[in-house]
Amino acid sequence: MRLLATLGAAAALATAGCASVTVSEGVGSLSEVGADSVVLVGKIQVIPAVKPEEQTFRAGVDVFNMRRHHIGRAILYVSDQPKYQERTGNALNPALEETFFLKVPRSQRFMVKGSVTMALVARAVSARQSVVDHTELLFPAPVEFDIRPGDKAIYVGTLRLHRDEFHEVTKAEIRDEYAAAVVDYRNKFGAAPAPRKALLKPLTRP
Amino acid sequence: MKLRWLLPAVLAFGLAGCGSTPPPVDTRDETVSLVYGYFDMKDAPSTLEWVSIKKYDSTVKEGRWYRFEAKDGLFFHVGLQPGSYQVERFGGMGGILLTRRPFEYSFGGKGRNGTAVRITKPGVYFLGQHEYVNHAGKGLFAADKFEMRQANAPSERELLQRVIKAIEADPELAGYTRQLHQAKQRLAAL
Repeated sequence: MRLLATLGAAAALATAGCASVTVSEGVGSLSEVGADSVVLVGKIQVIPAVKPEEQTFRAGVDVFNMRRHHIGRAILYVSDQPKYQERTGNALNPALEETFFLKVPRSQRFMVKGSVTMALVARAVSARQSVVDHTELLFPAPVEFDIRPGDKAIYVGTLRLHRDEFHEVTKAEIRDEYAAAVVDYRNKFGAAPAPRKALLKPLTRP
Repeated sequence: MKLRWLLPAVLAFGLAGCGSTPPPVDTRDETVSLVYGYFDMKDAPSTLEWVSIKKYDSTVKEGRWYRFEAKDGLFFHVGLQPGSYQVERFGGMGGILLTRRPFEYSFGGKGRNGTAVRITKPGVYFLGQHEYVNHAGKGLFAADKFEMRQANAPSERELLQRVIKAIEADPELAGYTRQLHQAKQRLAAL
């Protein structure tokens, strides 16, 4: 698991954000997961799939390599409250179309905003104004993770999102691909106990 | 209304493109459509001088933009090919004297917005009437400071009348008789 503390400086990144954000891109070993956290196992699929060439990221000098958080990945902001927020202090950053293993604090059981960046381009309009063109494929949210005491890892399912040409999600479904996910889990973590199945609940449109 | 503003601008990067002026829309092209809309900018820090709409095409990396000139809130284009479009940005000049400068706004990029339209066959398409609602002081960032809200006035009929009048008054648009005819047919149906 790699922790970053910064989506900040690249103000362009967040169209806004300046406060620091802890980002979970993935867990490398279960030893990284303390008692206050749990591993989410699952997958995000977008239909039709988002091709890298569809995504544009130009946010000036990218000293923190923020680009990698956007291209081919989703950004899921989590919170302890089930209320939509444009951003929070904790984000999950799974790769699309792959089984993810993400560390999330137990208290942050709500995904309050999820998106795939289709375009993030910062430009100067004048000496006094710059603009950020931020086009996102926005997930239905909020969504609750069914984290229970004693859980070390939970399987949340494959979140399959169908989109139209405007990058609007027109249909969302949760698919149970537990067996395949457990194979991936074992390949990554060896003989560790399998994650408990805790599929995301049916989603409603945002 | 100058024809050069009505031409499709296929720009590599948003509106910023410079380079050569694209060719005029062929007056004999029967595949293109008349598209129009209206923004009320009374509450905005600038006037409305241009509107940029994006064609959504996953086969084109940077997308394709069409730039419309706007006058008194009304904007229109006589040559849009079939496809899916929505307003992405708009802007104009604001301020006075030394503070005068260009302003640019994003209509919103979270999926489909209120101007989205699918052009499936040649015709007349209305992107709706919207008003700029100022939320100055509400948020820290530009995007938080306004929203584009659907407006009740002017009516689609009134706006289409203005479009027809503008086409008829502009010699450079005299050749677009099919679009004008279709606009009048649509007006009669409203």
